[in-house]
Amino acid sequence: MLFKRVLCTTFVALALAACFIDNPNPATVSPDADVVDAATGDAPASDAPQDGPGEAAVDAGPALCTKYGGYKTIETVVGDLFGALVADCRISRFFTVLSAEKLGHLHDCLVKQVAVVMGCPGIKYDVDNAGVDCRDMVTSHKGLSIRGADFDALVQDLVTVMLKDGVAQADIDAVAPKLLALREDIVTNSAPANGKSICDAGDQ
Amino acid sequence: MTRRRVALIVGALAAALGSLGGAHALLIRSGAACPVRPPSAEALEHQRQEALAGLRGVAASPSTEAFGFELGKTTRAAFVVASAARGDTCESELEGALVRCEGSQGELVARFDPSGALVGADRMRYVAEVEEATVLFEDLAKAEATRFGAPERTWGTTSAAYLGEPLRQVGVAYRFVDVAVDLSATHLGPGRIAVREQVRSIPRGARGG
Repeated sequence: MLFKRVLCTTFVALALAACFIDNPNPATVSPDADVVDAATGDAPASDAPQDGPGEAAVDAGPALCTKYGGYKTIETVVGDLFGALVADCRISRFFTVLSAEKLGHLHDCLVKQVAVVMGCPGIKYDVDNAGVDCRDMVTSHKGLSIRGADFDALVQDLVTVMLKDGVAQADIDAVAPKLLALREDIVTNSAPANGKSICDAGDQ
Repeated sequence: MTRRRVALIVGALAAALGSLGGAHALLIRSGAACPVRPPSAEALEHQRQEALAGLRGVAASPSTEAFGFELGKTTRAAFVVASAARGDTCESELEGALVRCEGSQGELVARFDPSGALVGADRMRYVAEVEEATVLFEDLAKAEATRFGAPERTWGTTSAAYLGEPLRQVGVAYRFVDVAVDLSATHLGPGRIAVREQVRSIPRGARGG
């Protein structure tokens, strides 16, 4: 009887403890490649400048970051995007199930990713504010069973937020090819309807 | 094993359980979701209200109708029955907080509060031709103007030339004290323009932004 009670208590304790085993997955980016192309997640070629912003930033032009008020503005835009994503019932499920820690990790990495694309000087797509590595696009979306419609929803929200926050259409046009090319890395579920719940995802 | 040793083990486990439970409660209270299971309906609704707080307008909405349903009134059961009668295929997500339906009118995602009342609906339609998308957007915008009056905000240019390029978006937004209505058309790449209509209720408790 006592043994049964102890076993039951242990099980409940372990179940609660599981709520804290929620650290973002460790880095899969090579420690040597401290700069990755923020849009594709690829490490640059060995002859590429290791402290540069990557190909995407070259495309967009390094002036975009300063044009829109620097890193602080990018934090604002990403913050607004998060608000839009949580309020978007089509895809909010991907975000509402995340712990505060994981949401913070996602936010920090996304800010850095956008900052690199916008050419903010000295910013690398490397770690979040807690020092946890930001993962590449393929790894970070693996197992989430993201549909094309989910990707489209995020792009729509992003464009809406960028326009609302004063980003010029010409600058959105400039980053459009890179942004839309991410579809290949992120979309893994060809089902027209939602084939798999976020709760079944193996690697959030 | 002596009775005292068993008592010690049980006591230690109870203490560990208590501290974990306390930390867990703090974590959940801070708004974080427990990854062991989906957030509760109450937590989801709290997140929704927080996210929508900044959209609150001043005047009351002249309509709370959303794609043939009524915000705050239509129940999940009624929504599912009506969708099935239309021939839509529906799936429930997040333990019923979301119902996603596919049908001839595109994808309709409905959001329900913990009581099972409709609090938001989002319809997406993909159109291959830019001209067709422009006409559809214009028709929908006119219908919304008739229902809601002057929009709070418009953006983009309603023309095939403008919408013909990737990541171009044209939109209209209405903000009321109780309802937020959004309409947009976004070019998502070759042959894919998404026309999206959203009707969302803003709860009374939501802070203005």
